[in-house]
Amino acid sequence: MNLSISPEAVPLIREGIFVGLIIVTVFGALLATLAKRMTRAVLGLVVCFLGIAGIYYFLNSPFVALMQLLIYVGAVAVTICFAIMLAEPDERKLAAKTPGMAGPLAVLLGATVTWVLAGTAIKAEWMAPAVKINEGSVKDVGVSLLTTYSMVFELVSIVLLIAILGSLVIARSGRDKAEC
Amino acid sequence: MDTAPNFILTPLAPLAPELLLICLGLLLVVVDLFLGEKRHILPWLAALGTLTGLFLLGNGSGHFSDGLFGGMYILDAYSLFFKVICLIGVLFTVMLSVRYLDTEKMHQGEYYSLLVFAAVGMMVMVSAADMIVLYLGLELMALSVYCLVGLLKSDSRSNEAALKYFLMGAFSSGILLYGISLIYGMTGTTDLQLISQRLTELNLADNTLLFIALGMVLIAFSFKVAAAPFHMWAPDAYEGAPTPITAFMSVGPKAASFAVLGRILLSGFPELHVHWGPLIAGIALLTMATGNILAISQTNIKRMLAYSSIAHAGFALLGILATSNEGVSAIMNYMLIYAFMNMGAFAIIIMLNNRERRGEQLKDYRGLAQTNPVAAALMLIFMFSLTGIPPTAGFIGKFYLFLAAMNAGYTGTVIAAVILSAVSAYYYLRVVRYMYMYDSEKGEAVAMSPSLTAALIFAVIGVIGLGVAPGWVLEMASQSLPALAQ
Repeated sequence: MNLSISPEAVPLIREGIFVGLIIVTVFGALLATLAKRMTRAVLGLVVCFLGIAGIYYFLNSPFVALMQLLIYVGAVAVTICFAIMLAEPDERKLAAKTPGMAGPLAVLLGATVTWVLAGTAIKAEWMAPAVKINEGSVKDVGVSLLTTYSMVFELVSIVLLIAILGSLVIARSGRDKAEC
Repeated sequence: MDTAPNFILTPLAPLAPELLLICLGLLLVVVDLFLGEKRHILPWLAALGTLTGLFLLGNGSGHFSDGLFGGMYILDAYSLFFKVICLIGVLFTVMLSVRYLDTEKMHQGEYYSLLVFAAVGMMVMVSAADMIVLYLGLELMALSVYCLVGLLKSDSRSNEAALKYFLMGAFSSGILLYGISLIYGMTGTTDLQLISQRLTELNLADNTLLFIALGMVLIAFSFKVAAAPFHMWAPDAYEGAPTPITAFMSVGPKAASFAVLGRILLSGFPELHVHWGPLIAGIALLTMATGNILAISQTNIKRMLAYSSIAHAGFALLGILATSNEGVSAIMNYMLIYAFMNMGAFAIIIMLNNRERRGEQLKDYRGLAQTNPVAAALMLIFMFSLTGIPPTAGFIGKFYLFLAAMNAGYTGTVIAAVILSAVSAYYYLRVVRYMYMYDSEKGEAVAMSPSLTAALIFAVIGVIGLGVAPGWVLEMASQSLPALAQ
């Protein structure tokens, strides 16, 4: 098959991919917020994460895209599924929503913030992107994590330890009066 | 490996206090696991560890360094001072907790461990010279405190408080990260010193986007110090949390957040003072007004102290407003004094506490002067100090803050602050009126415990001592400043 693409079509295709990824992300986000069942909301979140991973890849950061897939889709979404499974939330309560001013107000506020931020961000002069270490390969990221950013790396591990410890303290024995 | 850059292993000795506390936090978890019923040694271990930490801090006070881990971590007298405040806060909280945990039947050993890790988070925050390190310290502190707030698991108010605090805190962390990423996008660095340099080099002082980014950082920290209009979470979180944790929240995290705010604004963004100056002045005014006026209508004393803590955040913002060494040393002095007087007031609340949450309502203080004259007299001193009446330390703290803001030219703001400070006398002295002017209804005896007595003595010495001889703290505070505001 001869798949020669004329040079004029390249920017068009690029735009097309970008817009497609954005549509996927926004669709996932909408699904996550509007779904009435928790499991569907998680599915929406996964779609949203996938879209973001695609954008990272599109922006030439394969490592970050890979991490997004591994950590968010692979670990975080699965953890949320486990939490839902263990907590067995009452699905009917989610369905009952009282209409009020909060919704429209939130949409208005969100739209304003997005408008202002996007407006200034497009006009702003950004710094040139930071020096890319060897195409952001896993090895180089590892080396700089354990040298330049060793302190940050260790701190992250302590933060994660506290997150685990804290969630265990809160979750263990539920609200059982007899235990606590 | 040839790809590795030249890397010099950072000597870890200057980090001894932080490392010690991390080990202490881990040790407490393990000890709790193996000791089972003999858990009463946990607070002693925690207190001993914190004292050793304080000793190590004092020991390392001669060896300052402004560039550990490639300039990400600064050890200067400024951070040292705030670390001491944080550890004093932890020490007080441990002393207040022993009896409270017994009456409330809270026996999670992780309580002290989380407290110690919160202290590590605060220490990292105040020493951070890089936005990433700062953020991680903040999260370490915040995650620990979220859990501590929700530890009264059978109490729905505690659950509500923890959830509200967590959601609001997570939201503000998101805003902070957004701000940091925008700043990184504009300047290409997260290092505060470098940001300050690049601002001048790239001529970014009038950049709208940078202004928005800085605004986001300000909003996030206004959340953390509970400054209006971002104070909504504070009354609920303070009321629902276990009382020693309420005391801790109003002292430690608040002092650490102020330290960071001071460092970011004065060391990272001094050029933008024209922009953030009026903003901080507005927030300070609104915060003082909201806190002092809403506190008047409170009948729950924990809630009242929550609004009072909002009001005090407003007063402390005056010091940042001043943008001078004088202002910053006034904040440092104030935070130390506030730690003593607030801890003292909370110690009295905990003293009155029993299983029915006695001591939390204003009416529980009726006739305290008859049933327990010593407790009433101590509460009187702490309330006077919170109002700012001489010769207590509260007066000295407010005096230097107002003086600094005055010298910086914010006369109008200071006049408003003085008026609102007078308003605060109404609700603080109402507690005194309840104690001295009314007859007691039940005349219940007050149970004391050695650690609570120690905390009260410690607090009263601090409040009177810092009020009578304030010079040395201010001197110590101002000596630390050349490093911060160049």
